[in-house]
Amino acid sequence: MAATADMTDPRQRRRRIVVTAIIVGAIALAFYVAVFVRFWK
Amino acid sequence: MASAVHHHDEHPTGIARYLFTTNHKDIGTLYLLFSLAMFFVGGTMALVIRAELFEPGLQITDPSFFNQMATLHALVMIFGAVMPAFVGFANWQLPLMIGAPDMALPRMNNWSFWILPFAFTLLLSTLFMQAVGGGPDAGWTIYPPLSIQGGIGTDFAILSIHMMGISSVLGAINVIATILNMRAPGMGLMKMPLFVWTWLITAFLLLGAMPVLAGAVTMLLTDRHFGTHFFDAAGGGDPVLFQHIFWFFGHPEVYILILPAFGIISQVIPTFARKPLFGYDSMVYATASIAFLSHIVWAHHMFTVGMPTAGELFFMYATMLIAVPTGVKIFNWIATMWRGSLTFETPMLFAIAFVFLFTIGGLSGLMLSIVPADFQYHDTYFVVAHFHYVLVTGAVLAIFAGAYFWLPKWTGHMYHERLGKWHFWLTMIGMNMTFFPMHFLGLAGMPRRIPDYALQFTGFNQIASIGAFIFGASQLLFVILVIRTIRGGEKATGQVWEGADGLEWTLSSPPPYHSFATAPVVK
Repeated sequence: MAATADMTDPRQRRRRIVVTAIIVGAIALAFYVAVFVRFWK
Repeated sequence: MASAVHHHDEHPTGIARYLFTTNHKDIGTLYLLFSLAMFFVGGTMALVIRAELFEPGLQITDPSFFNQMATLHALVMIFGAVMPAFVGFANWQLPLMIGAPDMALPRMNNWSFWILPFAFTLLLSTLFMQAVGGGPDAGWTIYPPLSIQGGIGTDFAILSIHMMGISSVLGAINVIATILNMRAPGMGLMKMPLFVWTWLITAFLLLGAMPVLAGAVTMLLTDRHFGTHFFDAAGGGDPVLFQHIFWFFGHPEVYILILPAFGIISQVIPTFARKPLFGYDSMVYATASIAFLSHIVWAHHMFTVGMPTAGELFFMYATMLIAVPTGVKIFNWIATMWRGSLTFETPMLFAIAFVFLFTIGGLSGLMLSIVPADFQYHDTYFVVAHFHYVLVTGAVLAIFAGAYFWLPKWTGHMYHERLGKWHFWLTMIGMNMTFFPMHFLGLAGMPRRIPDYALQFTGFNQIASIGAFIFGASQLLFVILVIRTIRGGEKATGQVWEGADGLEWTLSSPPPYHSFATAPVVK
């Protein structure tokens, strides 16, 4: 996933944006859940 | 072709334009205007605090309302003023600087902004609920057990903090997706302007910090209303746990507030020194190092709670280590100015003041990192002086530097230079009068977050209060200047500044509503 490759292809760019957003969003959600899991007793 | 261009520049007018906009420039403007309004709301609260502290004894507030002012001042300034200001800069500048037509996720961008007014309406509405406890009054750190015992204002604060967190995380996702996927062909990571780099790293900090805060305040909510005991010692919980979780968010938050400021200063100084930034690579690595270190120093905020010596030593040394990459940045800015063709337009004045005054805040931070010294300074006005030197003479000065720097680009008009200089010098006098005496008050032992104080602290408090009113009043000049610049004035060229370098300066001032529809090629 070279950073600047195929930027001009709208389909490919859109797919990469969505994948990035999902990964980054999942990281945020994982942090939120981790706080509860870590300290639940 | 002409009609096609015209078609692309069409947009709704009136309020619909801003309610439904997905345009990064419109959303950037909304963020900046919101931030400006919040600066005045939070600033008014600061003036209530300083008016009360003008003399010992209780003059204009009761202690509970004073605590509400202190709490809300911090929440409004951090989440309502400084963070949205930098997000406003990001919205306007990131696509222009990387040659992208817009942010990667424009509809989400709209949503990120429009959550904020509702969050702050909730938060500030508590001031009109004095009969049921009023606003949150446990400090912005909302430590239990006080926050568990607090009135309905704490619940409103918890809800609004969740909303601000959602807004910030959505913003961070957008920034990361934009920078990683939308750069113009040829713009490798190490060719990005420093402002873009600092925002990329800030977005990752937001990602690591905001969900943790959200977790902490959700646990606080369940402790208050749903029978859990995360932080309640009577039920087997631990109030100190909250402090650990809060500061695991809180320290990266400090860098969320300052890294974009570093980015702005790194754009302004080379422009007015007419030299490329000294040590670009080291600036990038220093920013990343600061971001990493910010995650492993949280307990320096709580040295006095009682920690094993090994823990205190670790957090002390790790904190001191942050001075190294920060020092790299300071020296690089100075080296950029060294033998440059300097001119001192208003943005440069603010940038130079930033370098000098932020360093004072950094050095007092180094003093606070020393465990035995911190036992003396903790919860005194020395801490208040320290973080105001970092956040006001640091972050806020950078915001002004950025605003003056890019205002001609955004509006198409040059601002009034003499008015800008008046604003700068009055701000300098006011802010230093306000915050410098606080060092002495703290070293003499005046505790923070109190509406009353012993008689010997009167003199320095009076200087600070007078300074605060000068500082506050001088910001009206900025509002006048911005309105004048939007309405008209000398036309700005595309380049605006003689030494300006970067993609945004290749566009007209103001840039077209839809810019870089065809990606530029970076060589």
